[in-house]
Amino acid sequence: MSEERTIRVEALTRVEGEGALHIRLNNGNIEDLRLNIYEPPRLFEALLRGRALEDVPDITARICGICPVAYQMSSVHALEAALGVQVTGELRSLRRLLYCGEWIESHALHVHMLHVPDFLRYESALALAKDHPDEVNRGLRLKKHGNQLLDVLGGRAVHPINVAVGGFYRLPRREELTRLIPDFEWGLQAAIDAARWVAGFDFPRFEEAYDFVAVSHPDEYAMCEGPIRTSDGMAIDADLFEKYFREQQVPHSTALQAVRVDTGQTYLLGPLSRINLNREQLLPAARRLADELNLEHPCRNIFKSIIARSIEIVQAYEEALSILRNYRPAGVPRIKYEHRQGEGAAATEAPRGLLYHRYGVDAQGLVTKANIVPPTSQNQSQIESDLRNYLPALLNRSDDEVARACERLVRSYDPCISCATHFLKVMLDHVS
Amino acid sequence: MSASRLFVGIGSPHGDDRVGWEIARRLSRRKSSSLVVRSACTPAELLDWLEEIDILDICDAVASNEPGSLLCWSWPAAEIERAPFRGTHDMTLQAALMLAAELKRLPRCTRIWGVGIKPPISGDALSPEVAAAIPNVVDRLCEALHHA
Repeated sequence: MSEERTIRVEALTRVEGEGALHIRLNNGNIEDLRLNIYEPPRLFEALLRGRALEDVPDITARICGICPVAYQMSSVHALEAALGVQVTGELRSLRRLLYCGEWIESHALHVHMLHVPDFLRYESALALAKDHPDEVNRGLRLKKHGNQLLDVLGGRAVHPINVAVGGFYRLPRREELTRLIPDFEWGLQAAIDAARWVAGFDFPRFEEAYDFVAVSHPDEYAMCEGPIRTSDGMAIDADLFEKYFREQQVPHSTALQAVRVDTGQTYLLGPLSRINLNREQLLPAARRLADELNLEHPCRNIFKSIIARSIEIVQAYEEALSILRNYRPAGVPRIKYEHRQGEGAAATEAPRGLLYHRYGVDAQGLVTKANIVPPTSQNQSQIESDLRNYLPALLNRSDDEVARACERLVRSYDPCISCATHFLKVMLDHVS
Repeated sequence: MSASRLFVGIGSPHGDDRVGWEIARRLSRRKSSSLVVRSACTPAELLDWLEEIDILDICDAVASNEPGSLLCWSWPAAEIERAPFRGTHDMTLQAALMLAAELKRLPRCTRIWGVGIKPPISGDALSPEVAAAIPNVVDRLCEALHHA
């Protein structure tokens, strides 16, 4: 007699956006597993066509309230590639500083409010706060620092408006940045303490042969620039992304999924990939911490993404402090450019992973085509692959326990479903 | 020493959901030296602003059959849990306030003002009913803030 089980998580919680997970088992075999992303399509690419290229950073920032800077950075770098503009020196440093703000804000929120409750067995950050108020307060303070950077550099903490093609609309005064230094000195130590805390959690034993993919740079922990590297040794310019990575539609998701063109296989983006590929480029305090915490190199346990994410908070504070201390505004806020027909692509590292943008522009400065490939849609098929491999060890548990374990795995990716909409409910059906 | 007071208007650029922002904008024109006025896209932003605040007033849109009506609750109030605040904010206003209370960060006096709006929300402008009610809402808020 066959036994069928269907497990449903109707609404995945503590993730950004809305989606569901549906798992159907027959005699312990997975018959069907779908990460359903049902948020409606956003259609941003079509909305951009015909608009002035200068509008793109502010429009794409609206794709996400958590990682708007990533959209601004990928868009301006792609447009600057199309226009033949290269942003260097002080402006480049300020862009990295702005990105540090977003990494701190997004990572601190995810680690403390969304992911730690999984490891300490709380239903929510609110329940966590009852027993761990100091740690939750710390997380909120770290998040606030990130928001402060976005506020000062981006004009406001949510959907910043100061990023321009060629640089910024306005440069901050030196004192606007130097007054942040005491808070960031406190934050660096607090971030180190937070990383030590999460590294002491119990982690499920689950290792996969991931294909790690991230932007890399020889001289710095990559954020905005550098070739796209993979753990099997491929290194390509961002301009070749679409030749090596393919988006594909699946019936159960409003987000496109992605695979590598050459292997047809899934790949992993995000903090774990970045640390594995770029560990040598971590700044000293972050690198010492990764060693102190005995984070494997490479680490193939997705649940340990929380450690990687916490180390990246330290990295972001360390880099931010360096830029804050050395900032001496001297030049113009943005580089002048002439409109010209062209096409450009860029990949930058959003908190959740590589974010690819490509734009075509005409001689009048209007967008003729746009393609945006967010990290969560690229990770979506990898999440499904992980769940297929993780589930067999869970099948002797109750439906509720299976659903919780699956949600926990999904949350390790810090998915941003609204960005990908492109996610989350878990559905587990037993039919016998 | 006078108490530190914070007013936060929560909203979005969408139709009547922007009423919290509009009220914050008008209050900032009239503000007294001890009143800080802010606008927020999400309730979670509140958590960044509560240090050394004694009195907190929050204004958000609330679904109602009487557009432009003004409701007020003092925290803690059981009915707030059931209040039909709408929005796609990542943390509900109730959750943000409960977290702040749990972390002992909530000011000693916290009031929530709800301005009635009638869903569905569309466009980017206020409806005539809500727009017409705003001056009176602002006057009532100023009066209440003055006496807090």
